[in-house]
Amino acid sequence: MDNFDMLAIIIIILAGIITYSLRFGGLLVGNMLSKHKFVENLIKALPGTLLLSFIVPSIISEGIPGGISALVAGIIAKKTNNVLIALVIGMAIIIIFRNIL
Amino acid sequence: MKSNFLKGFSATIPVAISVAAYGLVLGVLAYSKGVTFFELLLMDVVTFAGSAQFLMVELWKDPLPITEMLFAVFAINLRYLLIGASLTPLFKGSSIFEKAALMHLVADENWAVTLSRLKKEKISPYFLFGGGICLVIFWLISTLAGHAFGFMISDPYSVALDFVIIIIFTALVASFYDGKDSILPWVVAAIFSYLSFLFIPGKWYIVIGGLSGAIVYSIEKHFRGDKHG
Repeated sequence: MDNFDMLAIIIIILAGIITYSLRFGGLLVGNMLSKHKFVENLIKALPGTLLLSFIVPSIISEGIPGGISALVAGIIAKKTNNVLIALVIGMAIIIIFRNIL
Repeated sequence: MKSNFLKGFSATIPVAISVAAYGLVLGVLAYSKGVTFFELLLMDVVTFAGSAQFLMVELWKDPLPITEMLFAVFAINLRYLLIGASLTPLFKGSSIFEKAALMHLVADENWAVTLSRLKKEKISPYFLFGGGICLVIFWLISTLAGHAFGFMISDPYSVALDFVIIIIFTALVASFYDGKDSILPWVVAAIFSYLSFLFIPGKWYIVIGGLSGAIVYSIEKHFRGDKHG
């Protein structure tokens, strides 16, 4: 049972069904969506606000190093459009704080 | 048909390489969180969505937080409704079976590549599908490689593995920044998220913060640019 957790498998499959329904559903409802500006804007804003809500508590818990690292990574990502560079530099800041300072 | 597939496949290779870099990170994270090789493989094929998989792996702990997890997956993937809707012109004339079969492998990356190509030349949905196959191959190889070599990282805390996902999401958040319109919704999202984190058990702060910010954005848009009615 250790290597084959039924609940985990079911969750993964459900997550897949949800995701697929959204992909296929979007194609089916197509133009109907664009008539509801409010809903369209809501959906447009969600990825950014969700990811932000995800990171805020962790950054605050990490304290000042977390804040500096996140801010620098965010600015670099925005300026260079390169997430990997932002990742490397953001991680370097955290690692230095945790191991040296 | 076949040539559209190959064109889409090769046009997606450059983005697929950068996707593979995340895949590697996801694989290592999944290993450290106790997601098994098979579970990761299943996730890659069945869900096939980067941010959602990162969220799931991050929320992965012994009693699996089922409701929070599925809610989060639903919310983060809601954008696929719009992505799907924007593909309507590409699928004009396709049968319902074709649509159903080809839509599964739609991700942000092959969607973007396909739409930018569609502006320049006439392509079929198989271009999109070719891109999807390309992505899924890179995704499988990179995530599973990350998982297989995850054991090499002996002290996840000192190499700040727990913070990798935070930095990646920070960088992604920055890319969603949409000028002044984003400021108020983001402030609201951050406040609601932190308050829910403090006072509501579980992982609900993600959904609560995300929804409140998005609602503020819609209201703001409603009162500013009211041209569309």
